[in-house]
Amino acid sequence: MNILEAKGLSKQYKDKAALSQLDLQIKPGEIFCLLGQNGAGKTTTINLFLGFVEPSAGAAFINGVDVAKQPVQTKKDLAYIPEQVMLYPNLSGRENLSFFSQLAGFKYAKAQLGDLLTGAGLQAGAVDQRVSTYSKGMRQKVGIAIALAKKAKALLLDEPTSGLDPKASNEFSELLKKLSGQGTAVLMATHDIFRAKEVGTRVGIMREGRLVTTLNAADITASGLEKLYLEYMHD
Amino acid sequence: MLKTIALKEFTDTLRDGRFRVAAVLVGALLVVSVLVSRHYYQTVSRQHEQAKRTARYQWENQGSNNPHSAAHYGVYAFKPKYPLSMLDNGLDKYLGVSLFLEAHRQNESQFKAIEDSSALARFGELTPAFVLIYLVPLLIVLMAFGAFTSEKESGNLRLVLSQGLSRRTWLLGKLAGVWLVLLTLVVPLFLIGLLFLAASPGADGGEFARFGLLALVLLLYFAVFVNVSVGVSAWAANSNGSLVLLLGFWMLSTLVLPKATTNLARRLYPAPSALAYQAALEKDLKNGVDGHDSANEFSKKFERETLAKYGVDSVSQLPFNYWGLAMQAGEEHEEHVFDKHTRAIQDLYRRQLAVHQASAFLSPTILTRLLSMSLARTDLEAHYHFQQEAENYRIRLVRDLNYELKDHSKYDDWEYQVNNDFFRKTARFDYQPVTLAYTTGQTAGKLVFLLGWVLVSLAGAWWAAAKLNG
Repeated sequence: MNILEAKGLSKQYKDKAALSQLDLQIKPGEIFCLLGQNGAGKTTTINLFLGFVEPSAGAAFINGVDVAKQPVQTKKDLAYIPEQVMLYPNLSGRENLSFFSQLAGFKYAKAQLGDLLTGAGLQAGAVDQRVSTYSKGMRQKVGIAIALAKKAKALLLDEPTSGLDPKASNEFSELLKKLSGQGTAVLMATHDIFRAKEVGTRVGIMREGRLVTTLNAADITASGLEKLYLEYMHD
Repeated sequence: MLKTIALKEFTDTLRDGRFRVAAVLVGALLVVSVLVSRHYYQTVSRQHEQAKRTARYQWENQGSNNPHSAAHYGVYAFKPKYPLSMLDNGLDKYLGVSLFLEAHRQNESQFKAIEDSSALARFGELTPAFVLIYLVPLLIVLMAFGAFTSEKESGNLRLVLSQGLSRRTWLLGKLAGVWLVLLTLVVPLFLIGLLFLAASPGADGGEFARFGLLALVLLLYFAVFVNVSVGVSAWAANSNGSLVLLLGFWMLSTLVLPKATTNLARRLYPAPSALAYQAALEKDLKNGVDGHDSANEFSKKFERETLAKYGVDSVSQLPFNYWGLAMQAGEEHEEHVFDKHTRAIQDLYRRQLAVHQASAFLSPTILTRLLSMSLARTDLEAHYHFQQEAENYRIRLVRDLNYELKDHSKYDDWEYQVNNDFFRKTARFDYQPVTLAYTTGQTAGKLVFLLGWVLVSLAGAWWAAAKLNG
């Protein structure tokens, strides 16, 4: 059973193909990393799974349901962490988590919210401080807690580690592995070749809206992956 | 779900320092304006009661006098000040508070507050209606211009929508959030207003019903601004664009259109100058019986007709004092002329007002202002009603006095006098103000129009929200 699936998924803007004929299946516990330059189609792929843009052809499925046909229902099985998790600066981390969880239909007790936040790596002392005082890494951790709180089958990540320090980035990888161990299907768009090799089960390289190759992360070294990536980017 | 969103918006807004400053300012202005207006209302109503008593006392105690001389001596009619003028004093300061009623003339109202003020008063004054109709919408704009745009800019919109929330639920939640903040601000003030109204001796059931309707009108008016602000925020690409657009709408609705249409109305239906008006009036007055000028051709004609009617040769042979009848004939001619000219000028002003009101499809402020003045009875119609009733009373009083002369004195007996007993029995001016039924009939159309604004702006916001994208 595929949790995330794209069948001939395409998105055409006026004179530019943002995504062409993407076929992709991600099973429970798999972490699929999409590599590629800006404009290669990574974010478009994620937007199509989120239902924020309509496909020009093909379809995206979450847990077997067509996203374009059931944009609200498919989101029940999906959690998303954007590149920039801004949150509401006038609310505390706990209040933000409580609010977003309630939007998704979950009502957690105060203590559970705190556990989720510290579980995502936030210092216990920061839980009740306003988000306006948080660093980017701290906000990202609240974003992770929001995704965890949803207990979703699929997780979509758009450059989640950009701008994080190596330690925070490493903690993030550990968390992803833990989730994958629990059966979550993960699709992550990233620029970070090392992180992709480290955390991914499979790695796909995208160029100009096409998925040009897919390989098992176990079959290649980080430097081998980098070499391959550069070859694909070379004209 | 709506409750969750509304409560979050409420907390978020209240923790915003900029909003707190703006809300405290508007709240303080409202409280001050209510207190100032209440003080003014109490002072004026006290003076009104006092002046009314004094004027009647002077009339009844003028001593022995000829009835027609008494008609020249005249009486004063005072326009009542209604409790709701505390909230909206409308045109009161331009329209005057009293009328001098005398023989031969229909006078204009006197003692306009604006004449006692410096030119600065033309800039407007701090009344609750001003704060509620002009400043609260500005606060709504400041509160809601970023409702969606700030989330588009921060990316929170993507995160929110990825939680499995429909765009329309999100819109309704945003609307509910703005309302929660707004009601927290205005409901206590409505309650204070209600308390002051209950403490006013002049407030009857009708006045409370008017207050309820006024509160409804204001809430509908706020709803227009809430819908437009949230809708534009959903439609606009960024917060700057949204703010500029909404401030433009606010200016157009509250300042530009009301001023522009006033000028346009004056141009389309120019009012005659005071001089021209007076000249036309005098011309018409000359073309009729003049009770004080028996040589006038119309007076002579009236004399001939009267003699023929009673079959006598001279006015001294009439069974009554001819001068009383002639005075009344002159009076009736003058009444007719004044009535004609007053109606013409009132109709002109009504047409000007209609031009003003015609721009209400672009300016909900004009609609609300007109509704609020009608409900507070501080509009032009309430004033015309008072003028007409006072004129009817003047006609009756002068006729009674002329007939007293005609029926109870001898011809050419200019020494004939009546005493205080007679004056005490003359009719009193017991003014019955515009009723609630009259006002509701007059305002129903505008109320429906305002409701239309609410629905159309809501539909616009609904449409814009459906196009929201992460």
